[in-house]
Amino acid sequence: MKSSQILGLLITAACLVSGEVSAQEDFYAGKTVTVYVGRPPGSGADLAVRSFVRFWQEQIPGQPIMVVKNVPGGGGSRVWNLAWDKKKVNDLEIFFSPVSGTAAIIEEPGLRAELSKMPLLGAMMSPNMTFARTDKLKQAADLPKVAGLKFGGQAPAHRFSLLGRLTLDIVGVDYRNVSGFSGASDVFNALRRGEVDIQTAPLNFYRFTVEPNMVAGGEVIPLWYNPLVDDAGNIIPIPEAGDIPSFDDYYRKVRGQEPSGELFDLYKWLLPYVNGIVYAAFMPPGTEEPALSILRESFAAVTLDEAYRAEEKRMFGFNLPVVSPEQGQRLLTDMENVPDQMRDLLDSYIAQGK
Amino acid sequence: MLEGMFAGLSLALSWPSVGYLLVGVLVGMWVGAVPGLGGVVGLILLLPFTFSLDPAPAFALLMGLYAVTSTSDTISAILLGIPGSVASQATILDGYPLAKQGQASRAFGAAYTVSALGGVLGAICMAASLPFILPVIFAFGLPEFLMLAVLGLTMVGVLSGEAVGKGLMVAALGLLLTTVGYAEATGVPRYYLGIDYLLDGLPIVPIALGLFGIPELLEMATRNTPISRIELDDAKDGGMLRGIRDVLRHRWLTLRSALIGVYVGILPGLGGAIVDWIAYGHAIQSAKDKSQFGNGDIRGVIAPETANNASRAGALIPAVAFGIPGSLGAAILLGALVIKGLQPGPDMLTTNLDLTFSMIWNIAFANVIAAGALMLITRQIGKVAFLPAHSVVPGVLVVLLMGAWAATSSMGDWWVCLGMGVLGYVMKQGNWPRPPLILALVLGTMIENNYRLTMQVYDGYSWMYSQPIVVVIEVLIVIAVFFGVRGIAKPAATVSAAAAVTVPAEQIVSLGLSALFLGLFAAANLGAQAFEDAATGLFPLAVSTLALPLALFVFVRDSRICARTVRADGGVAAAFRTAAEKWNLGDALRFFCYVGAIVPASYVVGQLVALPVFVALYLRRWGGVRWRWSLAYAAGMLAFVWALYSRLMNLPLHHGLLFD
Repeated sequence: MKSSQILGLLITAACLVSGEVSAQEDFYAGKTVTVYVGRPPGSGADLAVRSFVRFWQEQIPGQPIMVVKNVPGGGGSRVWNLAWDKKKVNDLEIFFSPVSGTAAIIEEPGLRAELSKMPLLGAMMSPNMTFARTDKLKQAADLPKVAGLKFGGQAPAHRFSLLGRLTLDIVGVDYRNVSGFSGASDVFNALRRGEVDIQTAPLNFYRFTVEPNMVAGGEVIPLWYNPLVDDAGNIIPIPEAGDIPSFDDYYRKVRGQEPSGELFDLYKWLLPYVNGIVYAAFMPPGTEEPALSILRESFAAVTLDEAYRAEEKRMFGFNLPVVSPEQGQRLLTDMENVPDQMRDLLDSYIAQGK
Repeated sequence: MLEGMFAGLSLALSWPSVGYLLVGVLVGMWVGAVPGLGGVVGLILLLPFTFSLDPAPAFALLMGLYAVTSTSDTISAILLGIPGSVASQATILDGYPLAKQGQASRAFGAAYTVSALGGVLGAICMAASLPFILPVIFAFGLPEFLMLAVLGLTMVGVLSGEAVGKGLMVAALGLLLTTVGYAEATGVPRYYLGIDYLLDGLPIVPIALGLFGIPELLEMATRNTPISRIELDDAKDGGMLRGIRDVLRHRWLTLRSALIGVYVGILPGLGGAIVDWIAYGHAIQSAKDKSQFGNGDIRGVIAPETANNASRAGALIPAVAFGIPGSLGAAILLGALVIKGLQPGPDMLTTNLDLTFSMIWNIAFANVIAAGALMLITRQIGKVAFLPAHSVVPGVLVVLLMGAWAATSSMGDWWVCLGMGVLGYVMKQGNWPRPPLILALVLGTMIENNYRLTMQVYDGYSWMYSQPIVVVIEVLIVIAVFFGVRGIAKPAATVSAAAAVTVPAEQIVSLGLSALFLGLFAAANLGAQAFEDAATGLFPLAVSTLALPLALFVFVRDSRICARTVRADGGVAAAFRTAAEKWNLGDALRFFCYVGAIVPASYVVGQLVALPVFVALYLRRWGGVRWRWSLAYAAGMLAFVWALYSRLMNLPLHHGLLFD
């Protein structure tokens, strides 16, 4: 090939690429994108989404105006139903909210949307951990030997209640379940007053609220964190957990063997769904290119943006691991095709907590 | 500590913090004045602006807003009988009757003075209590909260006037309404009728706006009279200065209400929602002459308005200093701290003590600035009470509906608001007390959850005698119930004598309401028995089981009275005719048709079309206003709704089938 031909090809390629870039830039330029969040204004999820959107706006070519609107209701399902019911797709509406894995698995009333059939733009995981008061429990390893402990949690199907109870039962702890608190703060208040002894809560809650107020004074000790698991079942380590062990490590240390049994199978099976996809951004079904690739790329770019990562670290205490659209879509599909045996086991375990 | 206090003062007075405080106060006054918005919406609006600010100006901005929404929410409570926010619900009981008597300025004068005093006293009390407040907070556990909520419920006696039996039934309905949606304890949905909107329970704002606001607007529309029953020229109420003098006269009530505000305010989850009711109840209980409460007693304005402003400092400290948010507003402030890289907890009482004190100073300053600014415009605001009804009704109705919409931005909010409007109108006609419904809505979830959690933690009833604070509250409950029971007995004895002279219209409505409540309690009871697990059905079962005999008793009593009055009126048909005339039934139905039509119209053409069309049609057809002015008014409301709710607040509006 002659050099002039090569040059010609290069120029053509450059024109095509720049044309594509320009098309991408034009697509959202001057437009307003609405981001719906399914939680009330001021809630933790609302603040997290608003923070993300500030940076997202900068990453989308053409830098559209992005506004956040709150559509709480239906136990958090209304926002997904709203996306699912969209008759016309306009590429200007994003639905970004916490996903309840258990709600999808146990088919709670209200959720009509089939999340696996909605295009996922990106998602984030969120780990959590279990801690205990020290007036009955001097060190974490003593847990199986202490009787009469009380575990405080939210509704029985809530992920913190489920994971907390499951892990205590797997270790074989003698405890009483106190369920029905409205949120992690309420459980923590009861823990501070000594009304309950053990709690499972998000890692950021532990870092910002529990650690400075109670761990520093020796009134509370961390027990373990419930890890994140990728779609191949591998545990994703959390450096920010420091010397706090994952549940598996804790079990091995105090019991001297690998965790096993029906409840541990349930725990392992449940982890990817309840911890592995916590905040997720979707488009309505039927949304096509180029909107999808523009928003997916920009979503991923935000998670790599140093300024965003610094703010995320301030808010959560660490950077939330990111779930790719492919990974997330696989998880969502699995959630809607739960083996009967697992669902029965989960249903009966939740019922025991009522 | 003193060093921290002065360092905080210096931070609060430094530039640009003072400027941001003023901006916060202005926005706070605005969001507080528009019914349904309130502090949480305002904080969310301002939060993004704080990201790039240093902590001191950032919190000056947020505190300025946070502190004063409960000052400006008084405007709609006094002028329109519509609570501007949850904090001003008790104020309407005496504030609105004062406005009807042409004494709006007096009520405003008193309300703003005590709001400033309450805010400052609250800040001082909180600053002084800082070193030893934590043990007080932790002395109140699950059983103490449970008993406090039950004690709050005994306020029904105070709020029901002489109709204590009916007040209890209304409270029972309120308690049952709190059981709609997912049960906190078990996650099982209750009474949601297959409607997704009901899964998260009934939001309180649309209920309060409908229950109190719509009946008042209906009355204004049907009578076509201004809010004030007397002419502007005849309104020689002494204006604002008289209100300020009232505060000086009732200075001890002001002080006690401030203490109630600040120390009830610190209790997480209990404070903000109930503090105005507790202060109002205290004002009645401590008064020698109780006869004017509910009819325009200035003490009924002073007590709640002092307490709700004082509670702001009370709610702030547990959140900032101990990481315990007592309300959604406090939770947002907590989030703002975290975003700023500050850790709520001991650090805020040691290394960052100056910042904590600067927040307290900001609250004090903001309250004084807002009260002063509102006093400057009180004279003009007070004149709204003398405007012709038709010029006020459509605008206020649009604001009221959009306030309800702000709850969850769902058409369900409007259905609830209108449904409660109808119920509120009927209750008003039947002389049934409405405040117990709101009180029970606030307390219901608290009672159910704390009872269940207490029973799980203590594994039985030992908490009833083993906890000293619980025992003290129990004694207070017994005393309150004793006086309440006396209240039930009294009117029963006098009712037969009064029956002959009672308006039959009222008796007929009352009987209808008794029957409705009886049916609802029976249905709730059957529904509660059908829940699979006992924990889900326990609370509604207990409430409906207790309410059923009471409803039966009131129904039988109302039937007898009604029969007697109908006979005296010359038969059923004659009684209904008289009743219909008394109610202005034709006009009331016409009003509900106008208002009710907004909802289906919004489904079809969207809110931005339906609301202005309503305004124009109402003004032209009902108000007899020229088309030109009607259309101009409608265009103004369209611009207002679009700019405020859609653009500024980013509320998702319903666009309707045609435009979606």
